[in-house]
Amino acid sequence: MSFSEMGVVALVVYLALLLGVSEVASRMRRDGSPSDHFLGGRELGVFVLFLTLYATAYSGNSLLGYPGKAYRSGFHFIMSTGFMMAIVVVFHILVPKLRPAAVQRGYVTPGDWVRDRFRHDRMGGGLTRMVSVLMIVALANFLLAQLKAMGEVASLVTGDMIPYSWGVIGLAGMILFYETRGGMRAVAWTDAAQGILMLVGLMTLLAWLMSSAGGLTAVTESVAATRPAAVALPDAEGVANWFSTIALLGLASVIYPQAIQRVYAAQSGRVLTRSMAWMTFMPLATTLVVTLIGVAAIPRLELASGVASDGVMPALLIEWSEEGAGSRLAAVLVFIGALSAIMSTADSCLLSLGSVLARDFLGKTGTDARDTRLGKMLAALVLVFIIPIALQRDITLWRLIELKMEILIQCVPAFLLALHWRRQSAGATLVGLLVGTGFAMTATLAGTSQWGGVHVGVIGLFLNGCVVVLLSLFSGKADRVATKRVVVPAD
Amino acid sequence: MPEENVDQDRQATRRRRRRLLLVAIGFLYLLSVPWYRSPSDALNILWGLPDWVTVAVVCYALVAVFNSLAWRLTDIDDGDALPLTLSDPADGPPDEESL
Repeated sequence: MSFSEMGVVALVVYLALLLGVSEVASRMRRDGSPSDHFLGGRELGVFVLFLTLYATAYSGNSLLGYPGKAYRSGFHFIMSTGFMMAIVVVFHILVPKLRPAAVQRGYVTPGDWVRDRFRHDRMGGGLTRMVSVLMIVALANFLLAQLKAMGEVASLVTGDMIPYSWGVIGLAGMILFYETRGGMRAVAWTDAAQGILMLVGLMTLLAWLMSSAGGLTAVTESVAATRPAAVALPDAEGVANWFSTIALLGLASVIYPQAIQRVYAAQSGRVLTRSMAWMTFMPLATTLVVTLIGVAAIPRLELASGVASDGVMPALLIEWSEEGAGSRLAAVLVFIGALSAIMSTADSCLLSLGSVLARDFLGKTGTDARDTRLGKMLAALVLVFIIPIALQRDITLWRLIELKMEILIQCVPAFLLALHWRRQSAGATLVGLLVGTGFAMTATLAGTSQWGGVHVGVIGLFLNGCVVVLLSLFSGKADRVATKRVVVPAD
Repeated sequence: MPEENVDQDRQATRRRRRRLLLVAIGFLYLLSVPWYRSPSDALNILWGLPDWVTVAVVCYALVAVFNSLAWRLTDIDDGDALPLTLSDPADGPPDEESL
């Protein structure tokens, strides 16, 4: 059986499994409430929560964008292990205070926290809407990246028997179907299966790369001989960029709406802490592995002209598949693992988009089935708008991630600071958000993504934070009286 | 000593250990980035990787262990759901004590 025939069979089996899982999940529904649909009735246990957090955090970007980035920048991309781990560290600032408030107040979306925290502040509504706009933009950007990656992988694994455009449209339709039927349960359970596939696929590919290259030392020596800059120590700008990337991704990723919703969806606080205790090891099993895969590709693909950064992983897999029937099957499984990672992130984005649009942007904070239906409808509409954009193939995944993070990181004060600082006011937070976002967007549109290695989003967050603190401290007495009454969870 | 005081002491010890672990994680992050090395240093391979990469990997492996321990020392008491939710129009913010 050829590679593309195996690819088609594997894809069909995988999609049939997804349909089966979504059918079971839809039968487990208790009612049609937003909490039941968007948070799975808040009953995710340790195993499923851990795997859904894992599959959601590690996406098409991790499997296609990161090896490409490691291929381009060499061992410097070891920073990716640090920034992915930083997410689980930064969660210490968010989770212990947000989780009890979410359970006691029945939050469904991130905006529910902002609305509740600044409830008695006249600018609270505006702030909630602004935060939701930034989250929607970031989520739509993230979803777009996943749709593009889905099309690429479907086309590659089937040898273009399923063209890019069919892959984007067909798989997006599949996600919409199982997400609409099974909600968070379907998403979390498919994520769990997808997470396992992804992990097994990556380990197998790394083992092949290392054994065929003669071990880790041989790979490093070969990389040093092919491209000395890939093993050299970073200069001052490289060091600044390392710290900046850890800050950018570590801080912004905890504000992912889908990550926050998983904090709400855990069965209990204890389940959540145990899942986090496992999650912290996953960058070693995933990001470190894809970095080594990307670096190991440097001597292998150096002579291949026209290998774009997102194409490094597929190029390696196709090379692997040519070594025999066993390798072909393994390469197909890695492709399906990559596809499952991409789809697991896309489905989480879509689920969050529906709920954030309905509750945070339109203010429909009801608890009955009508509000759930509105969320589902909005998610479908978003897909209809995004698919035509995804059919354009000219933006790389890494740039999409950076853009999304530079926007999302500006929401940090509304969560991480507001959870801990009672005097913070909505007006100050809104002005800070506008200043930070305005700065980051202006610089990005002017073609500057970094200054001296530091991301414009991180500089924007610094300005944003200064504005929030200064305006909150010097705001009028009336505002201070109001802010004393707001919710700040106790230790 | 009353059982309540024993519990409070145990919780205070857990909180103290958690803080220490988080401080140690901060130091490991500082150490993981080779700001203290010169870019012109020659390549030195340690455990199959450039030595500065090995240092970073070891730091991140220790971060993972310390962070896992810190999460195991984190207590999150969900409490009970409040009778009022966001959807209730007459809903006011919960008292700080209730959170």
